[in-house]
Amino acid sequence: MSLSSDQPPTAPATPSPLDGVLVLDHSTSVAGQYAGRLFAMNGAEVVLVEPPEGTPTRRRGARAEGDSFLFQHLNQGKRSLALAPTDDEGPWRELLARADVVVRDQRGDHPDHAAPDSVDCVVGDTPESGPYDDWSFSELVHQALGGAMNTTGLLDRPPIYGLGERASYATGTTAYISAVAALHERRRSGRGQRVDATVFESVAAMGQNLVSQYSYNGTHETRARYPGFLAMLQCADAWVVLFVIRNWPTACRVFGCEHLLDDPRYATSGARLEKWPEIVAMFQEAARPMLADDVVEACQNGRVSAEKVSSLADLVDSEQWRVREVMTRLPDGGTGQAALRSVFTIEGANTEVRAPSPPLRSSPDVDAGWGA
Amino acid sequence: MSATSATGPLADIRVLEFTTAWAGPFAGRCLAYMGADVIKVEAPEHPDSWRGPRSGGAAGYYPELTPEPDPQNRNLLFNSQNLGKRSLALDLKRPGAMEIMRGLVRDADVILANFTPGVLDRLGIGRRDLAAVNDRIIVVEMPAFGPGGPSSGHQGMGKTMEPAAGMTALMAYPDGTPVLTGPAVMDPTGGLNAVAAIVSALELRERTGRGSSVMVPQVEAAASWIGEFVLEQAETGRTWRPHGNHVPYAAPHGAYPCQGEDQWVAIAVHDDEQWRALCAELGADELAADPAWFELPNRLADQDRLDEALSRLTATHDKTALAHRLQRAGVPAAPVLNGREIALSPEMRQAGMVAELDHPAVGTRTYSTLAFRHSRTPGGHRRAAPLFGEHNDDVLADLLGYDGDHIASLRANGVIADVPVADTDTPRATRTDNASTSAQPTTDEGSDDS
Repeated sequence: MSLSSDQPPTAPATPSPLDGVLVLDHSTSVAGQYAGRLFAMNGAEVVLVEPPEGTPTRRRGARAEGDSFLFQHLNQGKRSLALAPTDDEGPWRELLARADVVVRDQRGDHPDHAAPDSVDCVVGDTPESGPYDDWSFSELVHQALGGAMNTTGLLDRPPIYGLGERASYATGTTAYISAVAALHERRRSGRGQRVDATVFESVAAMGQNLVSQYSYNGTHETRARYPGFLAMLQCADAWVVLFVIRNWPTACRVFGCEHLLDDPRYATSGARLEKWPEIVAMFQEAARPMLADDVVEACQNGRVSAEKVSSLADLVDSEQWRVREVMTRLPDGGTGQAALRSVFTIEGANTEVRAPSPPLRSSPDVDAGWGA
Repeated sequence: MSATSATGPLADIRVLEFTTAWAGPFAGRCLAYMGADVIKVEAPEHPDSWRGPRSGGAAGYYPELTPEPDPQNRNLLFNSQNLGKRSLALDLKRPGAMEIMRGLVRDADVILANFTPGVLDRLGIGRRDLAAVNDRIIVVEMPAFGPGGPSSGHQGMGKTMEPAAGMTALMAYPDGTPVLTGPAVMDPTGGLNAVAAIVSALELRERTGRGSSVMVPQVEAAASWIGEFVLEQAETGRTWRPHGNHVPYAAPHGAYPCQGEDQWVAIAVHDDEQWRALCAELGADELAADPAWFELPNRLADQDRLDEALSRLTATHDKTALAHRLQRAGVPAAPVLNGREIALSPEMRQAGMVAELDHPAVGTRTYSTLAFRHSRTPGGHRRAAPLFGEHNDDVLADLLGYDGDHIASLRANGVIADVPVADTDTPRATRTDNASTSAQPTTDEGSDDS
């Protein structure tokens, strides 16, 4: 057994929400390990428990040198415990007995020797023993079953699944919320409990009103034209998305269509919505030679919600991200590991990621005292 | 506490919610699901925009496509995202209203708002003002952007926050046209991140003895959900170039047409064994035998031709039957389900993702539930969304001890109200789709600002 981290967490200068909480992240999924990241960001000591060859996410997706970017993102702030079947179980049992939360995959029992008041956080694709229990899943499969895919894209083209692993991130966040809520409840009852989070349920929970709309009136959405005041316009340098739910005059002025303001055919909200495709075509014609940032600024100055379709290169180099310190570099003995700093801020508290993802080591440098 | 017998893990928590549209109400709904007593405070002159207008609302938002009567209590958008809450209709600008607020804040744990930054302070209910009343209060704001940057004052909505977060640039058809997620995923994303912040802030309070001011900048927070892409960009200067449903790790990977109009099966083939199984299930021996597609790298390099071939083969199949067959053969696949199919899905019901609730204005209807599962202290949606001001008397009498005369006086002076006195910003629309000739709603998701 080896326990590693280049940068062991140090005593925080400011308090964190989960100071003193010990989490064993025994999961192998994006969802489980993202829940662990949230624990680490909020001050818990999180140990990623891996097989000697490393958790599968180390090798999943794009990578520069060493571990994948996915692994780095999911596991920043954690330490790694490489556990072989032949290892002495003593230190592992000791950690288990002290753990407040164990995050793990489905298809197993809460580990023996876990503290009776610990939270057993179980993360999986679908509810155990449910109708999809033996299915194979991916982001695409989840988005197809959850309803979002059917409404994403254009009606005359195939539906689009989305990108990346957003369904799993939703599930990781759900798992974190559930486990922290259980810690809150434990303070009253003195007892732990099992919490479950599945991707299937988490994606379904994010559906806007699929079930209620059908229940209310028997209809459902499709990929037909978006039925609100939405426009996606191609400017000279980038696309812009705007939503003219209010402040119609602003939009007319930005795109040089002031004549529409006095035209009785566009006088009411309902009339404008009926003619919206025609209006968007006029806006598009005007927008084509304009710069996206200029369009956004003019719209926002007139209180119309608009944003550029920003590339990641745009964002990483943007003044907004620089001022807000959205990204940081975590000291790793080299040039530092890039990281997204926080998800939310709590005044007077440290809620930031504070150490790079842990390397996998084979040396048996057991540090049984860590985490006490 | 709540009139229902809440048993969730947050059953000792009271939340005063000042939110509109989707992201903020979704966060409050999550807290109510986990047992919190959530009191939604609405301004009579500015009700939650998802209640819709006082008349003439889009038919698709309402039971049996009929807005009248009482549309602001019958709008399915509001009624879907405010389950389990109580409603207090309070005009904070009227004399006497702040006394009510201070009384409620004394015994509350969380103020939740999704106004633009600064609105809570202008209303006199920011953390600085309220700490004098209850230093343990946690005040949560969830603007589109955090303070300080050039975008900080931007109006954010679900559909515009997604491109600002970098997600839209990663979704496009092969011709480069960007794609927005159909349901504005940024709204529930922001809502979930807000709930994560709230349970964290509750834990911090146990350690410090004090409440706090919490900020959830929705766009910046959402970047964590594409963190691996952001890190790759930062470290290598490279960004994934989207091409429909194609991905760099599986082929074929996409939606393929099936029997019927707009019917699709999603298939994700991650390895060569799955490829051979897919070909076998589709009776496509010639594809399996084609050496050009034996191995994943070859298939990744030839996806357009692969998609064409596969589309011809799936077109005669029922999407659900085919997905089940493929799954039995070890191929990740699923029918691309629409709203009707999900509403009727036995799998959703078996998972507890559908609840039937009775509402005084719309009767018994079914609603989606949430994904928090606690074995010993289970949460749940136990009550439908509130009528506007439905719990005015309960809240004032039970929580503040006001007598009938006092409440009547407040009502007479317009401090509390039983009906909204203004329209909201929800647009009016009528449209039809292929599934039905019925009118369809506009979807004003994400108008999460003041």
